[in-house]
Amino acid sequence: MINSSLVLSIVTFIYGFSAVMYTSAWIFGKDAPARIARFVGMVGICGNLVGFLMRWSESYGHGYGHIPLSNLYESLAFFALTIALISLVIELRYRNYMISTFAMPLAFLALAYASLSPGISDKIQPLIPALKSNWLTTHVVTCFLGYAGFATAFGIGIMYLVRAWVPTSEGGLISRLPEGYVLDELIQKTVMFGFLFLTVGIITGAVWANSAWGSYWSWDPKETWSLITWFVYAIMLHLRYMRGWGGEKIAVLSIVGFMAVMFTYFGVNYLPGLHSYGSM
Amino acid sequence: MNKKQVGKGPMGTLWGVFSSVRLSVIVLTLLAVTSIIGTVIPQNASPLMYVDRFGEAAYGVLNFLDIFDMYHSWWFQLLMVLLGINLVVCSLDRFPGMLKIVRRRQRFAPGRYQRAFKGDTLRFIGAPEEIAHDLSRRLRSVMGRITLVGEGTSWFLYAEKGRWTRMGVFVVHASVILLLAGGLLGSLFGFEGYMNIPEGETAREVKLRGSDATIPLEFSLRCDDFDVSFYDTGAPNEYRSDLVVVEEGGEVLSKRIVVNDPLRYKGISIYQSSYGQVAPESIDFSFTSKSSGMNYSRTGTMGEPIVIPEGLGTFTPMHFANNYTFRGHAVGDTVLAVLEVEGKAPLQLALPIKFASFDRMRGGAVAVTIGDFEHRYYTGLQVTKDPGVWLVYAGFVLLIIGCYITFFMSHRGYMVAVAPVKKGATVTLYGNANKNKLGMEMAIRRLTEKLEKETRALEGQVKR
Repeated sequence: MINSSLVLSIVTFIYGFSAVMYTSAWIFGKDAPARIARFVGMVGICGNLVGFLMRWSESYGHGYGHIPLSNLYESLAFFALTIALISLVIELRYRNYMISTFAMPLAFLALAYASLSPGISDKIQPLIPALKSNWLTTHVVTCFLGYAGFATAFGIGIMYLVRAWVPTSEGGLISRLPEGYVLDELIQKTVMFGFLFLTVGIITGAVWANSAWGSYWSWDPKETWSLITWFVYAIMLHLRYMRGWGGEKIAVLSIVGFMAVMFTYFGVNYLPGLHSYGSM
Repeated sequence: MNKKQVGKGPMGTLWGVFSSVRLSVIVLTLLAVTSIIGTVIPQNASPLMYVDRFGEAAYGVLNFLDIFDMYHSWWFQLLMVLLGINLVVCSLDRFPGMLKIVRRRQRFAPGRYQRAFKGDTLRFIGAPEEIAHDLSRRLRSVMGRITLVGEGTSWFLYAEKGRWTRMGVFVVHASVILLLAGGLLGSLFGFEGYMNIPEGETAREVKLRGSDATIPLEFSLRCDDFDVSFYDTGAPNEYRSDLVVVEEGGEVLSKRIVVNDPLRYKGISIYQSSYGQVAPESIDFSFTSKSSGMNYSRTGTMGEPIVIPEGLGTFTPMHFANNYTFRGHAVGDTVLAVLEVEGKAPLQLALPIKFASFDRMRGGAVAVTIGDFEHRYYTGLQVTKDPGVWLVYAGFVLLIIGCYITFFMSHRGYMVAVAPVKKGATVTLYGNANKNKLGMEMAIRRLTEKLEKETRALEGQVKR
């Protein structure tokens, strides 16, 4: 029987195929595989969206309909969707497929982790009382748009460092990467995108907490880690704007920042707190 | 960055320190790094747990440093105050300069665009003056109000947009100050506590969190009913309480609250946060003798001993515990009792309500099971007062607006140079921006392409 879990498992392989095609386009320096990769990536995005919507409607079949953003499996599926979407938008806007070459594998990994990891249940669970709120959608969607922005910045940061540290030969792999200054500016843009959405995500979370628990900030580990992430990127933006940092230093910071994002997302599940349902 | 001459002397030096970006970066880094501690070490747990985990000596040191309640410790608060002072001083330091820039009139000089991004030079047919006027009409929608300046035989079009967006960063800083101020106000004049009200009863005392103190509310709260519903899976679906606010003997307000829908009255918010079973007045116990197989039923009350027949001992129910933990397992509501048999040490018994035959596993001469008792719930309410919350919310709104302005809007300047050549003129677009230079570069490139296409189309029409 076709259900959302099956669709999302298939999408995992579509993303994987797209990532492989992007990589071969890069390795062989040809445009044809990149075009295929882009098309396949779009199919993947559509499939991912279909899986998301199917899961939503399936939850109504179980008698407790809710938007599929309530546990780790569902959030990973949504994370993959946002990464793929953002990287493709940047690719089309900047007419350069290298961004997707580094971001599509991340979408693949996110979905593969959700589909294949034995520790992650793809069962549709009913919402616990704390999650029953109109803020759920806004809070989770904005947080993940933020995460996806930072994930893209991370991919571009890696690209920048590869370009800077690996010796370049004319017509070689490295020379096909976008120019350093383009990457530099893209890191900044994606970080600003991520920062805005993380800010909105933290704020909607705070407003929600105030309406559910009576306190907009309780220093719960996930809250605290999202604030730590916010601090890291705030530091990065100040160093960039006010002290003129750029290039390698900013690329390294985009990687450090993403480590904080990953800890906010996954690491916190190993600590006790109000967000413990994120690990289910 | 800061070109303003800082006066000598301690005040000047202090001002210099507090207005520096270096201090912001250091304070933010310290906040980020120290915040990690509290996520790794559980906060506000019992001292016994800490001693058990860290040992007596380490506990003493960590406790001295307020590590166990670090987000409310003097040094963490100090860091936040430092951040606040830094933000205020730094904004005061930069604001006048920025205001001057924002108020300054645009200067019309080609030299100012020497380092701007430059599009491909296009060739147009016609008189330069006409071309310049035509362009100023066509580009107005993109560039805003355009000023035409003739210099010799050349013409220059100047325009700019978004000068005010340079102020965005002050909006962000002001919003963070509002957040800090709101937090401070809340911690000074607000409180956070809880109250447990059994169904049908009225209460007005709030127990404060983190202390043994209680404070009375201006009004009383009555809980008419509490109910918890479950999904088929056994997971909780909804907790709800029917609450009534009673003031001076009259019912003022009644509301059914659930987890995400609190009751608010006179600046106090009341949230559904937990529930439990009220210790019953009396419980029916059943004692099964292992040797004779006989069952004896008795009704008991807490603290009253029951003598079990056959000389099996004296049973005293001591305490009704909510969410009892038996050897590391949560077993739910449990009756704790003592069994005394002559000639033996008294025995502590745990009798979980959920597992009727639990005591059989002990394998004693008598097995105790719990029978009927009156089930009554109490509702656990979180009660808070936070007068700073509106400042914080205002800060939230400003923070989002400020971030949007700072990140996605920029001060952009344009110049179009129209220079005469044989039978026409060359047209070159220049653009610069204080942020998002790549975006400016692409905008100029696209605009140039568009201009060229339109012009070629027009020329094609003329030729036909």
